Amino acid sequence: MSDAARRTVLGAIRHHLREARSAGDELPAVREAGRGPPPRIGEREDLVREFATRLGAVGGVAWRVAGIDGAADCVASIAAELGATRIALSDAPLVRALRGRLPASATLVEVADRDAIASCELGITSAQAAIAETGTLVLDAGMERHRLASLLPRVHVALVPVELLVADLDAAFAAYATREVPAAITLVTGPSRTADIELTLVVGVHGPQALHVVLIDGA
Amino acid sequence: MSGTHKPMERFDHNAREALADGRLRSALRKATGQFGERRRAAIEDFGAEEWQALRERGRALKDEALASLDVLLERFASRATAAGTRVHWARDAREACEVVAGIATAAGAKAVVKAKSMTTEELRLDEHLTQRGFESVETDLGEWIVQLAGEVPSHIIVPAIHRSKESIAELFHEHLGTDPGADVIALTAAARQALRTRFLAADLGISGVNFAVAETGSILILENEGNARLTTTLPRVHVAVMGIEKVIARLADLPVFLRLLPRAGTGQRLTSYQSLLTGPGGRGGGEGPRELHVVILDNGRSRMLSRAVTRQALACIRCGACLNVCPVYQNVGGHAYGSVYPGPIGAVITPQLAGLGRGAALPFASTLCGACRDVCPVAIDIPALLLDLRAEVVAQPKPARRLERLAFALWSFVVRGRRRFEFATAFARFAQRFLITGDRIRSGPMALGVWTKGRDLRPLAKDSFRALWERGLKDEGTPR
Repeated sequence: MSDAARRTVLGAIRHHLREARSAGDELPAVREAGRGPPPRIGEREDLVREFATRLGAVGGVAWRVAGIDGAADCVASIAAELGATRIALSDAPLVRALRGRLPASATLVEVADRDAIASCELGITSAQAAIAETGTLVLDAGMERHRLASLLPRVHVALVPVELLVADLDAAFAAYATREVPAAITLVTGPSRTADIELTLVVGVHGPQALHVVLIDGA
Repeated sequence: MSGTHKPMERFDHNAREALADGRLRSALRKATGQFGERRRAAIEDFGAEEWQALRERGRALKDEALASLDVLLERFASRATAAGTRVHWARDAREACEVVAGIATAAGAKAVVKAKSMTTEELRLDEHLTQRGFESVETDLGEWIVQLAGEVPSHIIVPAIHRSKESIAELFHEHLGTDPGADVIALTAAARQALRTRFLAADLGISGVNFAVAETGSILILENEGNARLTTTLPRVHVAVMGIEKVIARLADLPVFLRLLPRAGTGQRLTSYQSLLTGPGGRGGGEGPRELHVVILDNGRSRMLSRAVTRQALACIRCGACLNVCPVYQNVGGHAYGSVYPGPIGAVITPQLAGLGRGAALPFASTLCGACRDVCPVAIDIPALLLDLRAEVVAQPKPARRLERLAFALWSFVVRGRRRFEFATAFARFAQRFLITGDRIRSGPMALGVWTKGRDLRPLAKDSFRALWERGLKDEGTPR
């Protein structure tokens, strides 16, 4: 069935495009190299400032810390304030380095079992890039197992070395011109939100209610 | 009931019903006003000139893609297949529903979760799956409310805009046992909890597609709530349904549309989440579904390619900006259109997808003010399309239009002869004396009476311009 449908659909498209051409329509060709303006390049401190402003504007929190020790302290205090009893960790080396530095009372969930992750109050991941233009995290599932840890718990903390900041969306996608596109790239900009009931904004629906991004110098 | 399916043939009747519903109108005003305001602020912040350039670029990219649609779809299909995606094609709604039901059956699925998708609403996929014994749950908060109530969406971004929080609290009380006086935050929390259970139990997730990238065989889905991420990550099978027009050439084109769509739709710089999916992630121990299926749907779209004026409607990226600025939509809302695609863009897409027979009333549901064209992020000339479709509707021989045709034939005869014109206007000046109340004609006999039922007519001036001219205007006004 599917092959007949495929041939019919493509045949109909070709037929109607031919009709358009014969009626004198000039149909533009796809320009193989036609690109927009090149990605913006910014000074690191400007990018950090822009990222934090944009993230703050959508209800996320940006932290800036020195080294893995600073990151561990920051995450530990977030976990303590939350009173997290179960914490999901992704498999990134940066995240695994936190083991032993988080509140001893919390159980660490390091397996990819979704029910186990769903029962955590806090999920900790890293990110593969951060976009200053929009305050966005780029989660590349080919580099880290963080699809569920960044999604199921109520609070998501992402550890991001400052070197991974890029200026804009163009730069983030340009990285894939030379790299294989993984099964999933998730862009995350702030916590989940809805305004479906009387247009009242509620932060935290199906995804996390809070997002903390810990920017690390000298990670 | 304001929230149910209405026949699209009876737009006039539906509109009158909607206009009589004061609560619906004030809810619509609030929603459309707020989105309009946010869109304006977002564009001002972006820069008006830059926005103009971005719109043109977005449109050019869409035009390029549509001109090579066959090539790009084949490229998309082959790259997606190489990444492990199963690609299916469907000529019409029935075939697409069959394909999805077939996938669900083959996967042994029972419980289905759906992320918001207009294309699946166009297919009435929910109904089809329910009939086939699958339990299908909408997971976008607004869509879920509408589904619980047995209604249909009234706004493409805020599906349950026609319902007050009190009526939603009542609905949740009935279905979930929550407090009947619950506030918006408590209602949202209850929905999260109830739907999280569904997500974890679901075997099949169904979503739409905002953009399909030919270069990489990827699909992109935008959202704010996180339900699309859950739908495309938790169940072991994910089916995405897309119209043929969703394909764009390159990954590098995405930033253009990611800047256009959220700003035009909700006034956001970017929605909370975008999922770019290329093949099933759950193979080899990874996270995500073990099967990813993409259904490519025609359902009347390909024939819109044949003419420039109709082809441009395929550039639509479904932001909803034209609904929010439309004076007709602002007053009657989405249900009156009797279609999943309401508002100005709906009035041009629906008759082309459903056929002019059923959607013939919709191209007339517009004042042709042009606000839709001005806000469209891909610069679709919707008024030109409306006029084109009106011409097509009028060209169809239909007994109901005889009086209208006769009137226009008479009009065209009268205005083409000076004597006839002068005689007719002199007669009208005489006759209107009996009809003027205050400074307007508010009622009249026969066809005029029908027309003035909803509008007031400005009477003809006491003297014609020609008469004023002859009486000396020509001496006053001529420069020497």
